[in-house]
Amino acid sequence: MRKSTLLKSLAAAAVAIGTSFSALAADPIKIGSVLSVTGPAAFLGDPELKTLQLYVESINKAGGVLGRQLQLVHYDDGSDAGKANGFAKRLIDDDKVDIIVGGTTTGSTMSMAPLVEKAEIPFISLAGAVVIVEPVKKWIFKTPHTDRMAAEKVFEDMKKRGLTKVALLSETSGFGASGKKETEGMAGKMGITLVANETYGPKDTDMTPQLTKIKNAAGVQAVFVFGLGQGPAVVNKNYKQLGITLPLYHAHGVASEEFIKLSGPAGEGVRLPAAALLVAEKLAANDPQKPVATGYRKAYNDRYKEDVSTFGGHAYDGLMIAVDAFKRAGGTEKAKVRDAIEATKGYIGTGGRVNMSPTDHMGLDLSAFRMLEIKNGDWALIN
Amino acid sequence: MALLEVENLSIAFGGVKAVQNVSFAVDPGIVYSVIGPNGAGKTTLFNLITGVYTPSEGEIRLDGQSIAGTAPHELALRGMARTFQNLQICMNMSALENVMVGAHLQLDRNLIKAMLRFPALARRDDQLRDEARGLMRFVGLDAYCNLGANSMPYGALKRLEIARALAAKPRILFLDEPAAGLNSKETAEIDELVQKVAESGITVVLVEHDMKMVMNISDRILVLDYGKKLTEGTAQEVRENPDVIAAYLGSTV
Amino acid sequence: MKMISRHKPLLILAGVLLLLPLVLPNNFYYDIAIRMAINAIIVLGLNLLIGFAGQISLGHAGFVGIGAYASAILPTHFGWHPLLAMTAGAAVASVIAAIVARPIFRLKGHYLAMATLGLGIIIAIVIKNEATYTGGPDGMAVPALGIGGFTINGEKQWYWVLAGLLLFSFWASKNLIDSPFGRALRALHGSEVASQVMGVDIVRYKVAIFILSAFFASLMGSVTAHYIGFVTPNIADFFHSIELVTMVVVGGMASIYGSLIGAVLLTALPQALSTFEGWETVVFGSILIFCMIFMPRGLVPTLAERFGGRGEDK
Repeated sequence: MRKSTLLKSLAAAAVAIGTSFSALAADPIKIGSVLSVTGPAAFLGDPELKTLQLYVESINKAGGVLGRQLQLVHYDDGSDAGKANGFAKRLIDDDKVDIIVGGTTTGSTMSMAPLVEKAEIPFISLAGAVVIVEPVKKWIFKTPHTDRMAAEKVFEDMKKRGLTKVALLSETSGFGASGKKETEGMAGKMGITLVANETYGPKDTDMTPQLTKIKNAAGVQAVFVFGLGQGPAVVNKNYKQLGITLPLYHAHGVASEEFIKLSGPAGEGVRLPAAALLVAEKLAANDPQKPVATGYRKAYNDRYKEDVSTFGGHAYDGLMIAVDAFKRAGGTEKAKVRDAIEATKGYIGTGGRVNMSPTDHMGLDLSAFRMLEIKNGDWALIN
Repeated sequence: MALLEVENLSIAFGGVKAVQNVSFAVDPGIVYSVIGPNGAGKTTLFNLITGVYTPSEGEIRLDGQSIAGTAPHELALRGMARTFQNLQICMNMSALENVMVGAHLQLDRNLIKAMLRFPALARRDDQLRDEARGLMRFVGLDAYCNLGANSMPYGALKRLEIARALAAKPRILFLDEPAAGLNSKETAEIDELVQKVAESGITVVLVEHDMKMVMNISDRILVLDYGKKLTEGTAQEVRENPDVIAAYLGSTV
Repeated sequence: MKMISRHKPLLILAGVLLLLPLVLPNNFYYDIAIRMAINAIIVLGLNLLIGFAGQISLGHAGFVGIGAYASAILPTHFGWHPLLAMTAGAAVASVIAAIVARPIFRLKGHYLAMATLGLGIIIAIVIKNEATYTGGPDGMAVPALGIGGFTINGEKQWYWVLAGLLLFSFWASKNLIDSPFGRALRALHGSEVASQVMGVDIVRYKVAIFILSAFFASLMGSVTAHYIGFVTPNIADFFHSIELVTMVVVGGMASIYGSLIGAVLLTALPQALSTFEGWETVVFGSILIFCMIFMPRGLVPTLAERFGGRGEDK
């Protein structure tokens, strides 16, 4: 008998908690977001969230969009793609958002993808992998450059220098594994021969064995490292310790000031492809990206007192593309907004010039990447 | 033929020989007691016979078949049951369920049938519940049937151990100090209960400190001292044995 | 009459499940209810192992992962029927459980915890590394669960499927606990030596219940995969294992309905706390600490006792 009262009161409590979830009237434009603000992908999700909060605030101060305020509804998936799926349902069914910007990792994006497709709601992902937009999914777009583009940009630069025999060293993380696959594919297309193909774990602290193998690989002319976080900086140090003098390239995942600091003197001469954002001040005065990049950089720096990262830039681009689409669609009707996003042309963002089309839901080409080199402890543009 | 035969049984823990060269035989249907001062090896002897320990040397035979080193749950199959000096009651279960566990081997223990509650299994369980109540009554615990074992007093738990052992329908029952820690009235009741059990045809092997009780109900008595057999015989013989008197250092036997 | 009284909590649960859709405002709440049910069934199996048999497993998410990935990989790469894949996953989980159980259950206490922990981590690593089949850390899509031309589709249909599974699981668990098998299981928790002497082959029972809970976990892994339509290695990782054990402990060890309450609360809590903006982990942790200090035996047993019940609902 008592157990039944217990159950009843628990059910009542559950309903009470439930009603408090419910959202307010749908007057503002609701921008939903699921980001990995905590957990292993926090270094991506944290600047993304900060950027969204910063710009939703400043857009609202300036009068909002179409005379309506923006309302950001965000959830932290803790870098767990399974949770992202649940939060996406909440955004769609409970918060009834008008658009979703976010999905920090490829995993969370893909776990949300079937839901947004079914619910027919525009979705701009901030994650990297090609699978998000290839094959094209009607309601899904993304802002970051793909790992395939990074490989292409690097190989392009190598070929300019006459380097065709390359050793690949990739991390066994999701980012590295996907990069490895795309690099292998791109090598064939671009006439590059992979003479060595090594991997390391995301938490490894010594890559000497892999680099020794690479050093001894027959005919090797350059080395390409595909990783995130600390690993690539360790590679730089080991590289110098082993006295390897071959040109060393990294992927776009380590494009941050932090990477230079971690590498120290060992970073000198290392090249990588990155968005213009990283070298905003060094861009030519007539570069169309200069105002956007410096503007975002300054706003972010002023507010948070920390360096910008390209990841926050992806969120900036996602939000701005969405806002632009709302304006052109003249409202929040989902099909119209989707069409407007797909029709985005010549939008200049932190990531590059975006030209979407029914067959391209990312809209970036290779010009979005700049080839950078570390010189005297700072980034230098290579033309 | 003797029901239980023990021959030259020994066990050593490290360098300590807890039981040394002990031999005896228990005929069916009697009450056989093992006595001796504290640390004489009585409980160790029980643990050896009931399979909790494996002997270092020697032989144990039940119905003429060797059982030394056999696992306890296999000995249960052969009709052996016991109680424990330091209570081994399942405090996470009700008193009645403790008794029902005793009947474990007589039941259908299939997992799938249990989950789907096959009617035959459910019927047998209901029947067992009644039998278990009967056993609770037999040991004088009717009042505790519906209680959790953890809310029963010490004296009642001692009897619960006996009820659980009886549920196994054993041929030979080992009781390890059933009266330890009980007052004289409770001891007298246990005394009576053990006799009732013996009268029902179950062979009883008893370890007990209460000499009055031992002398009163035992058909034969084995005396251990420092792990060795001191003597064996009827109550009368043991009482008059000078070695026994010496071992107990003048305590009235 | 007797049957009704034996299963009174189950009937109440059935009533709640039947009426719940009347108060669920939208699919999101159905989603939460479905996740609660999935967790409750896994936790129930785990509670049979931890609470009733007294054996710890810190690697149970590994079995959930096996089921989830069997349902993702076998139909996608090999064209198996989802039901067959689900069965195969559960079979593989059971076989792995059976193989490791015997050596594992020779261990006790910390060693057992470490061994199961290791097992879970190994499964998670394999899933992460075999990217050709599993999609690696980014995960992979799972086809819908269709049975004879009918495809389970949408939260409302899944809700009724899970409601049915939940009721069946509680009914079967309650039956198990009250059977000779269940009593032997609880007895070996209460006293290993006494249960052995009563004829219980304790290793056999520990192994059997470990397999059963792995089987439950794998099946629900498959259900999760089909329901969400996407799996990532997180489903098999250590934190998920800990989450499951926490549900057992908070709800109440050796309490069937504690499993339900633990799963319901710990599934709802992160959602309810998501408005705390970065403080949710702190609040979540505080609630757990509070529970453990003031209700160390878990919610259901503690409350049942406080409100004068018999202390244990089993």
